[in-house]
Amino acid sequence: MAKSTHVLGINARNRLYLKYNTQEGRRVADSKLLTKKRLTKAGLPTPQVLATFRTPEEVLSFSWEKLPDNFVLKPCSGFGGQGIVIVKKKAKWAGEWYLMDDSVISVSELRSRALDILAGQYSLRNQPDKAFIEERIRIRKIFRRYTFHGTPDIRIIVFNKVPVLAMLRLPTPESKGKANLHQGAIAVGIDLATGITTHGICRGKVLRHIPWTKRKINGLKLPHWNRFLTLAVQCQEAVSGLGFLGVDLILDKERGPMVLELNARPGLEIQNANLAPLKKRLERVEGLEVRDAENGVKIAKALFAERFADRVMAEEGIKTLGVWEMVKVRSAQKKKVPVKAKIDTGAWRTSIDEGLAHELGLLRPENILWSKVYKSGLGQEERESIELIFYLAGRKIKTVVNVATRGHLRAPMIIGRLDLGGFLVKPRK
Amino acid sequence: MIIQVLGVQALGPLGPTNFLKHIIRLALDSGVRPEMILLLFLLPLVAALVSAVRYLVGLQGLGIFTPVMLAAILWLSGINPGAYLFLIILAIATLARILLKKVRLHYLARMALLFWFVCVAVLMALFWFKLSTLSVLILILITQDFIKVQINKGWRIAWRLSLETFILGLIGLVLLSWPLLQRLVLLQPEIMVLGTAVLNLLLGRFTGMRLLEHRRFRRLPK
Repeated sequence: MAKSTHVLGINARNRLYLKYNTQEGRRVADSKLLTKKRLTKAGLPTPQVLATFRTPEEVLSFSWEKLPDNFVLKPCSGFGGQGIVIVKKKAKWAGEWYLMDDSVISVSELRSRALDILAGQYSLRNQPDKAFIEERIRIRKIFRRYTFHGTPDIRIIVFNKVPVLAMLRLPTPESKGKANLHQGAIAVGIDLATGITTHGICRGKVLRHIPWTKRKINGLKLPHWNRFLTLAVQCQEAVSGLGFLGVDLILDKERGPMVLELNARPGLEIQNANLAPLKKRLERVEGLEVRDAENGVKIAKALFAERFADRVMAEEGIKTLGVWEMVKVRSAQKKKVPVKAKIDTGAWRTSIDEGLAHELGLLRPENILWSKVYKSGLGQEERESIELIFYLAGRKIKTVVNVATRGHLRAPMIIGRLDLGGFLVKPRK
Repeated sequence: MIIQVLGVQALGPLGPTNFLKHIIRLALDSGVRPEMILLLFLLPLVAALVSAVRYLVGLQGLGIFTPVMLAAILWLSGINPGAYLFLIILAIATLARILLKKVRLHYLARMALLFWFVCVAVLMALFWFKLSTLSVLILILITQDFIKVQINKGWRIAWRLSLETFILGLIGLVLLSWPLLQRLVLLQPEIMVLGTAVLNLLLGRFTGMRLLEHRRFRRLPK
């Protein structure tokens, strides 16, 4: 048997990494209500609980008609998405609702499901359980063409305060609106540095496109990615005794990323979704001194970026310019005047046409810094240097520019290397 | 008969290396059936095997108790009646569950009704198969695990796990009826007992990949 050292198998997970989760930590993670309590105390956002049921009497006396249009009924200690009922909206008659697949559920059916939950049908080891009703987080528009009848969630594995692997879980027709892989949801790997999706996998098969919309799976950039990562690490800080933790997060339209639940025994399929072995990453992170959540996120981004991440991050942090750019020059009257400029990496200083400078009122004596004789392709001439503020690709640049007669040239302004720090220039555009 | 192998073995004075041999001899002399001795020594080995299959191969089965008991039943009452009754019970449990799916019942009431179905079916089956009371009881008992999995995880997973359990039971049967092992138990019980314990300790510390995981994670860079 070939010995694989980087992939995390179940044996290694259970013996080497679950020991970081104490009994107390597991107790919190295994109860969704207790998790919510702890996270709320630490100031972390979770979906609102609308009702809790501890005894059958509470189920029977509850007035279901007062519930909002959509909600989710969940077992407190359920696992793998079992026992969850997702209600989409009110049906025609009072006391009836539509589920995600447009079938109708009545109060009596909801009630009996709640009683089943209390009896322990869906709990770990079939212990008697609690049930609760939670607000339903609606699907964000960017996910609409990626999911089927349900809201996707994001699983992040955090170890030693560093996010090590992440995946997006997309509900499918088979999973009936639930985002659990055991129910048939699609697992999509996410690059930790950029929050861009990489590969998809469903029931052990590689997917490149969403089967029912033909939408490409990779290349989706998740909004608020930093917040997702930070929030995941903050969960580990908020609940002690969960050193090896899976955090399930969801994206709300107004409130941004929120924590759905914590998992003390995160599954291993996330490795297949990312095509990345987990054990190698855990070993790189083990024993690091991590100050706080921000620090942990920074470490993760530095260590575990996909190969394309540099390029993407460079494009985000550093603006790219073409050869011809419209800049806005601030006139003496503090007006922003659009001017066509050529990006010229062969020149040191930026220069502006004398006529244009005059027009903008920039050649008043108090604005001229100095005059100097320059040698250039145009022969020897005396040029003024003036202070100028202009806006290039959204950035404000305060600099000193030369004034030259450029009326006969294509651009009344060229921008030189002195003012191009922090930009990339595409030679052809 | 397997017991005859004991006749040729000479026992020295009682000591730490042969006290089990003395106990076996004493038990047999006082009328304990040899199958009992074999069962008591070999069932822990079957259990270790079940855990080995779980941790080295990745087959799950329905826990550890169920396959071990199944192996014992198959050995005691013969492979055919045991296997048939096992399959009949599973089929009835599945059918009953499908029947009861439409009826909304409390969890325990539903479980109890499933048991009712199973017992009626076993009653019918007993006309064809000769099985001891204990075997029938244990078979009914292990249905509980099956029904639980079926209710919680659906029939597909329940049948997969049952099939795995059945395979484990068959492997256990092979172990139990292997003459070499039987002789080892009777002639060198100390080695058997110690060996089983060591095997369990080693298995319990194993952190490598399971055989089936190599397939599951075959796409990952090694």
